[in-house]
Amino acid sequence: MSLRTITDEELLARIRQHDERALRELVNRHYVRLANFAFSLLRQRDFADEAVMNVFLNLWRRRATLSVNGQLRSYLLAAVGNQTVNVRKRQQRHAADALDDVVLSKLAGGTLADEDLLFRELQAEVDELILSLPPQRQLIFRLNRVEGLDYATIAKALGVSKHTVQNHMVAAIRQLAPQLPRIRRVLHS
Amino acid sequence: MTPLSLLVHNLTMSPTPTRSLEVLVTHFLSGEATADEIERLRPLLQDPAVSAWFTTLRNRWEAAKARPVEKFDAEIAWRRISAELRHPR
Repeated sequence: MSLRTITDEELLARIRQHDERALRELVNRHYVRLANFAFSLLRQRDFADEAVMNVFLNLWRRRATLSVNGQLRSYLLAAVGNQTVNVRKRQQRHAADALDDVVLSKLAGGTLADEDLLFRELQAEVDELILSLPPQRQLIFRLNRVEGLDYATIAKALGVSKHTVQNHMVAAIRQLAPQLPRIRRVLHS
Repeated sequence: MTPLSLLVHNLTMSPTPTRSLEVLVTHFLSGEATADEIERLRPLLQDPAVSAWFTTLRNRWEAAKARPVEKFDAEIAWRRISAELRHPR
């Protein structure tokens, strides 16, 4: 049976049986998306590569005892997110290079409005707001907004409560939201 | 209760005035809102001030789906992973 046609979970089962070809197939399937996810958090290509490679190396080294609850894709996203927190600590020592590498014109969304310059400017503004969130909040926000994971899946993958995920999302939205000046005036009138 | 008075009620009765609205909107945008929460949100959005606020927020929410893209190569990554497995640093 071709490895290309089997599920992620079947690949994981083969990895547990020391099948290196299954690991290679898993890398082929998920590497690019995971690396882009890591890049969205770290903004430095080398660090993003390192974070994702560490996840696959750890998966292989811990294959005998590895416990994956839920979908492997969610597990990999969360593992990459956690790796970025570690990598970020080293990245801070290279702070002079950070963020300057961001090429805002490379922001991509997937809607027709992308062609609109104003929307691109808005994307850049919002991206800066998200980058200013604390690491864990930024990770949870991106897992929901960009990767489409629901609160329960994020909570399970990160080993936190659903309530914690919700609180981080509300705090992230508060950061994104504009002020409510007219409503405050209503309160004072 | 009219939408506006309901909003004022929410804002004044809540320990953090905007908290309840933020929670409702967060749940709605992130696809986690229950039918009851959507029903509670609907009248609030009829108020022009809340509606304008929500529109701006939703535009930012849409923009937040964007992410920077780089060209990553799975084949090159595999070669590095494979080398590391054989000769750990």
